[in-house]
Amino acid sequence: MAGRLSNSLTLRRTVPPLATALLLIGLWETMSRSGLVSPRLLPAPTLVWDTLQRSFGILLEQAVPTLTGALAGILLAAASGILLGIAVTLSRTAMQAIYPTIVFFQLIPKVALAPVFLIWFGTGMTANILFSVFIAFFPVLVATITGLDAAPDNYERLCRSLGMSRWRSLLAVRLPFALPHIFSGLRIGVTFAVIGVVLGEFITAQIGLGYIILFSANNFETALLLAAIVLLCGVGILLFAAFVALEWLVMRFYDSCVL
Amino acid sequence: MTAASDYVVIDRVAKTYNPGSRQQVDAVTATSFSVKAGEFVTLLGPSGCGKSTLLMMVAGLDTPSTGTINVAGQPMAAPRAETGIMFQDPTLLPWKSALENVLFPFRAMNRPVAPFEGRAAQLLDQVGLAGFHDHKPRQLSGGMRQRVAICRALVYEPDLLLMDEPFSALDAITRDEMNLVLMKMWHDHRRTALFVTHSIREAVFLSDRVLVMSPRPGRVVEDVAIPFDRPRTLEIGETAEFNRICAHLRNRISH
Repeated sequence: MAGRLSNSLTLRRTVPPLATALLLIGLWETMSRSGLVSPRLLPAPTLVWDTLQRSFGILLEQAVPTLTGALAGILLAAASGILLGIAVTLSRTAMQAIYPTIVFFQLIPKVALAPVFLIWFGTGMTANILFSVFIAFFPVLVATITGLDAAPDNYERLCRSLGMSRWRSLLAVRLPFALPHIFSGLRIGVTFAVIGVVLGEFITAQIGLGYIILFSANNFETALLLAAIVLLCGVGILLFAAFVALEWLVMRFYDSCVL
Repeated sequence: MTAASDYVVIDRVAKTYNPGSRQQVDAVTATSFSVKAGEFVTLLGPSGCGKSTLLMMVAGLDTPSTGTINVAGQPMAAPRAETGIMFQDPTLLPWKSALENVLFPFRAMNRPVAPFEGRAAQLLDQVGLAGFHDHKPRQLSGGMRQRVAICRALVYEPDLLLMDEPFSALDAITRDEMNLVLMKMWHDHRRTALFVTHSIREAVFLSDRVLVMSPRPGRVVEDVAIPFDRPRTLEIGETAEFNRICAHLRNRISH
């Protein structure tokens, strides 16, 4: 009975979105085949699939720098965002000195600065990664600052009444309270990191899926372009899933032990 | 002037926030009182009268603008390790079990935990939480969480217990239960206790003495001894004397 109930629940959760997706793909296929839309502008899904299979080797090769670039970007952004968030929270002076500048930087449309990164760091992976860090850093930082302020005031009083040092109460109380916030910042940061790397690849135009997309657009190879986007979605989903898994592990760790 | 048995001595303590600025708030105006060792004293007053501010100063979490506070013969400068504290909310760590929450003070003080596990478990049993040691706070009711908080405040055997409206967020029935639990624990462990509430009946039921505070800026305007024998039961709330004391206190608060 319980098995059947949970089965029907799974069905109800998976069937409607799958049906919508299939319907859209079917509609796309018929529109492209019937000539309603030019296949040069929007090739049919089957054609995209064919291209994906034929060019899979090249696409995969170019997906590697995009994936590693975005991974390096989000890891560096996470480390710097969390550390700076902690520093700013611990010191009122640091907060007053740094925070207005941070807010100012966040207001700049960061895409506009991408060419500057090209001038500063050349056309290699470095520019792509650093631009990715630049974009992904802010959501992590802001989430960390918000999160470290999430524990109600009485927790701070409790820690002080027990003679805990600021560092100890930070590690044992404030940081665990901040974790859900930090991880939601990281989830936004991961998607931003992928955007950053692809934008970098657009501008440096040397390697990566971003470069393939740019290249195939210039040559009107729409099927290859869409195939590259499919793979790019794969990269995004992979990174996102990795961080969801990391969150689960860290929360379980805090739930079961320590300090 | 102060007797040797006075454990907490508040001497002409006043507290002003943001002095000299437009936001200046006189929270407490020069007030003096003392609490004897082993005594249960309640600060009773309307909300915002500065009673919590006074309690935080006795805890060493806030400093008086003028005047001095002595605890156990020592002037208060910083929080003492021999003070147990309870807040309006249980302030439990959501990711720790009830037992781990009770043991938290030892972790905070960097002391070994293992020797105290038995004592922590025993305290939880005493407050009626046998079988809930491994439950997380989210799996416990509001009253059960405050029971865990009582155990946490007692586990390191403080000589002074400070409580800031610990039961005011609970419903009336749970509150009566918690008053009985607190009475029992206080009776078994005999600490000097300073309790803050705006509930007149709670103050009378729990205390040896009730100190009535005026509205802000707060000061102690009356010191009422509560004559009932211990251990007390909820039935004393029905007696004429109990209600006479309550009426007197209510009268003092509103004037």
